[in-house]
Amino acid sequence: MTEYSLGYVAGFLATFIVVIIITAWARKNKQKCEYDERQQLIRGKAYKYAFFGTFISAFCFMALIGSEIYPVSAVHALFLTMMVGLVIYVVYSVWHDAYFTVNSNPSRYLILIAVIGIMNLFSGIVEVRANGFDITENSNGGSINLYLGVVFSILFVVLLLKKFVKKEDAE
Amino acid sequence: MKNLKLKAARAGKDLSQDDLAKRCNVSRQTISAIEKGDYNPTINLCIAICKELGTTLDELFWVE
Repeated sequence: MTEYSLGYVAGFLATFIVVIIITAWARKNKQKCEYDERQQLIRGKAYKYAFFGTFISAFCFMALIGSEIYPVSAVHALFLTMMVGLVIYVVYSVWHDAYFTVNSNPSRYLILIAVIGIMNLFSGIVEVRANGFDITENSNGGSINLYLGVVFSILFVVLLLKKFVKKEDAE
Repeated sequence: MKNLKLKAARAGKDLSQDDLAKRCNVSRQTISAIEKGDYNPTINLCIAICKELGTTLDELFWVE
């Protein structure tokens, strides 16, 4: 296993452990993650659209891998495909008020999402400035952090827009 | 189709959408969607809303 792979495994394990701890704490404090019937319906639709989006983008990237037009590397193709699905799911859910649970306040997460987005964007831009944005095979360009930064930035913008729309929507 | 009967019944009890939503254990946006006619609730939610507003299913959800 290379250091790169070990880094991914370590990151995944660390996230997994944090999620377990938070879940255990939430159960101990009897905090439930509840979505009402309308939200469950919307989430089902969001998953469906995300599935089709992921499928189509995977097909597009597969066509590019090994092509002469722009031979994208498999790692970047995989991440970009996942990001497409993620963005579709998140944007649809947030816009239809089905991303956050019944008793949660989305405004609380705005700052956290902005901070995570900015951190990843900054990290991504530094990496791209150092290595370039060549994401073809056998190149060292591009940045996973940049993709994550873009995803979180999109989420932040959608949440902000939703907040303004909500004010007009209120009784 | 807008559900004005629900809106009127809720206003009659002096409840906001948020108040009614919390009592029925749904989100405010769900109550708003029902009132606007953008969402058709399940029978369980209809019953829960009627219980909170002290009305019958016919009074709130029957379409003439």
